[in-house]
Amino acid sequence: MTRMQIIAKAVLSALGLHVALTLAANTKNLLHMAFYRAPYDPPFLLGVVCLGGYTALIAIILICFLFYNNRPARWLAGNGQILSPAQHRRTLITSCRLILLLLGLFLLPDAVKTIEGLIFLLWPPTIRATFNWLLTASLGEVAESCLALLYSHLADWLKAAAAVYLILGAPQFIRWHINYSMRRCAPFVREESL
Amino acid sequence: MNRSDMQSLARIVIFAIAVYIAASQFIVVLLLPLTLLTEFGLPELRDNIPFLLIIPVWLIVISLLLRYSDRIVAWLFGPPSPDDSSRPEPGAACLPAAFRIACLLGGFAFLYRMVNAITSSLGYLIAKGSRQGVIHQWSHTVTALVILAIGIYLLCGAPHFVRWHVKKTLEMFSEKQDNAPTGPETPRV
Repeated sequence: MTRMQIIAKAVLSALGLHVALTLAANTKNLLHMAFYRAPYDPPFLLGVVCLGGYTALIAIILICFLFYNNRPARWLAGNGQILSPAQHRRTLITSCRLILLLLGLFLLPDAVKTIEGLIFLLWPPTIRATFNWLLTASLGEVAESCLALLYSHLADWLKAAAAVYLILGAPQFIRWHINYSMRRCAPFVREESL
Repeated sequence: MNRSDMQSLARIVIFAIAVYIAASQFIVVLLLPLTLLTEFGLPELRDNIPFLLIIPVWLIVISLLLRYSDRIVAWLFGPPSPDDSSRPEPGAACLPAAFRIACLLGGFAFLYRMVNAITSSLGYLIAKGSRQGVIHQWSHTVTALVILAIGIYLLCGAPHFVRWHVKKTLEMFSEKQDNAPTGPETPRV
């Protein structure tokens, strides 16, 4: 592959991650609207169809942008000088690290608020108050509160964790991506070298 | 089609912007009718159909942007010169500059959020009241200060962070590969 095709691949992967994360963070709103007993209760089937469509879209975006991105990258970047495998690997590492860092930095401002909320939850007076409440509350109330907490904050926590991981360079993800790309790019490299 | 590096890069950026707009519009497409239907009923949805027509307009704009991206980049950067394809690969010396630019771009994103954080913090400072209000005020002020500190550090070029990233990238360059590379030198049959 050429240098620009590799950069396009990295951009497509980051875009796929970003879109999937944004859509996943909105699943909470969708669940709320589709199944919650609002003033005008929506048909159950509409909720199922919307949720199914949403999940399918996230899966399609991840597959097209993260796993099968060679052809869109070639279409985007056009032809050029083909790199040797060593150069290919170096360019892929650099572009992936740079673009994922940028994505992490764009996600970080929202994560700051979430991390602050987490610190507040783990603050000693809050923990003490929670323990006092746990001693007096029934099992049903505890389960309900835990579910409510997870329901309202899970997406934000996942986004914050993703932001921190991306800022730290996402080494495992990049290693996996490089190995996967080098395997998948092999037919293209052979085809272009003929 | 042969393009210069700059033209390819511009095309990639145009594509990224188009996908970003399309994704954000899709969320509106899916959530807005459902909100109107569940919260206000079918008559409200019917009344808001003209408003929903903005979505196809956006989709047409995006498809035109993708269709004519070649013309847009040719207009922006002119025709590719023959020297462009023979440019050498940028070496490790370019890494600090590249990471610095990424940090600066991230710093601008922080700058944008900083304005929101500071205005909401000021809002809570002005509206003094209950204990809950004081907690909110404290929380918003801390968020604004943290975003301000990180934003300023990034806009200054984040030297320690850039050095750490460059070091980690160079370490990754020298790592042994799990899968042997295949290419013109080592064809895999």
